[in-house]
Amino acid sequence: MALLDRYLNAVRNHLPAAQQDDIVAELADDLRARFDERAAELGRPLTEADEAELLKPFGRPLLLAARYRPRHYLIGPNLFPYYWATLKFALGVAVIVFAAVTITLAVAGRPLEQVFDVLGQGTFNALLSVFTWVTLVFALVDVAAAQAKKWDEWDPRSLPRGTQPASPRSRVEVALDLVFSAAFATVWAATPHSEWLRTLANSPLELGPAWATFYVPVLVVVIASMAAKAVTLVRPDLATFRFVASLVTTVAGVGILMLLLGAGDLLVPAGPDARAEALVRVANQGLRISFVVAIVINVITTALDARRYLQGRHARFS
Amino acid sequence: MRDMGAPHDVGDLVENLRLELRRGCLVLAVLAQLRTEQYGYTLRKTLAEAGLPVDEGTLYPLLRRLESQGLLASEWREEESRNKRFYRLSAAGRSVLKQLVTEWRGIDASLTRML
Repeated sequence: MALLDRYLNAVRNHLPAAQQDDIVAELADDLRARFDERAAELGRPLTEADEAELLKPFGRPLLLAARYRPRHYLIGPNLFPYYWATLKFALGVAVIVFAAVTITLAVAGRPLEQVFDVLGQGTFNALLSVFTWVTLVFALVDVAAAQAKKWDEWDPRSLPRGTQPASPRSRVEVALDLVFSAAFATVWAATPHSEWLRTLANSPLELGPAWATFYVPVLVVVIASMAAKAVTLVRPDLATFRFVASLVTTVAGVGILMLLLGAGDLLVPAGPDARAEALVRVANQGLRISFVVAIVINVITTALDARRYLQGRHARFS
Repeated sequence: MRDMGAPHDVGDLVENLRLELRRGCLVLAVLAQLRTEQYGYTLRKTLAEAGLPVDEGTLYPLLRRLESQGLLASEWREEESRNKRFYRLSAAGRSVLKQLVTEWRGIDASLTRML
């Protein structure tokens, strides 16, 4: 097969199926005209080297074919900053979660083989999955938004007023908060299935049966709170969403803490050890005090958030 | 004023900026040339002779794009015992060209005053 036909064939393979014949016919006509012109200049038939010299400026077949496609990127400039921020964040969370899981396994005395398996293979697979899914979702959103011409819809009046940052907390703070919440959720979800966690790392105390009612509600509140933080991380300008989500999760959290206060002994002795009885009393008392402190802190923080939010709204609409 | 970043190769920089500048003018040149019907090969030669050579592999995708935007119309016809695709300006293309020419003259006048 002549070099020209090989080149056209290679270009054809990368073109949209519906346009292959049309585009290749036009390219072939142009290239043959150039070949004829060059042969006339040289006064002899072209060698393969002459043909290669004429074809080279057209570029690799894949690149030439790509120029006929309307879209040359996976994620466009409108979405890329959000994609990049989300990807970095999701990869960071995945690394930290796997580090926490690995440390937990190591501390729990699991075989080293299992620990290294989680650390190596598990982390690699998780990072690859995170990268693939985040990229895929953003690429699909970009295609859909471009088709719906959503990128043109923008109202400068939606910009936050004033020079203060949109969120009173920096992105690093929110990200760290999210990471700690993720670590807590992981440990919490694993607690009913782990003797080591249930017995508080083989201490003389263990979690009492009163907790059974609270496993799922606590997990739901933590996950809902993580979702809200993730949204805040990507869109710190959504002040109303941030405030409402914080209010709902705080009310739910405070409600659970108040129910826990009346749920009896949350910690019980792990065995018939006389010394554990005294420890249990002190630990339960300490736990109750910490719950009261947490309730007070949450109420004050939410009240301050509410004031800041209402002041922001007042400034916006005045 | 701060000097941002590492020093660039001035030759490369000039070449990139030159290509960018010419790329912006190419659509206008192609539309203007296609007031008279032509096929790709002759169009490329006409542009080159007029001092606007087009990168190989750039012209045909551009012609397709302009056609899909409704600015050009095309048809296959046989000439010199070869099938060729002839392009010409559509009615919408003529209107757009008129507006672009006005825009170009404005830019040209502004830059001439500035340079």
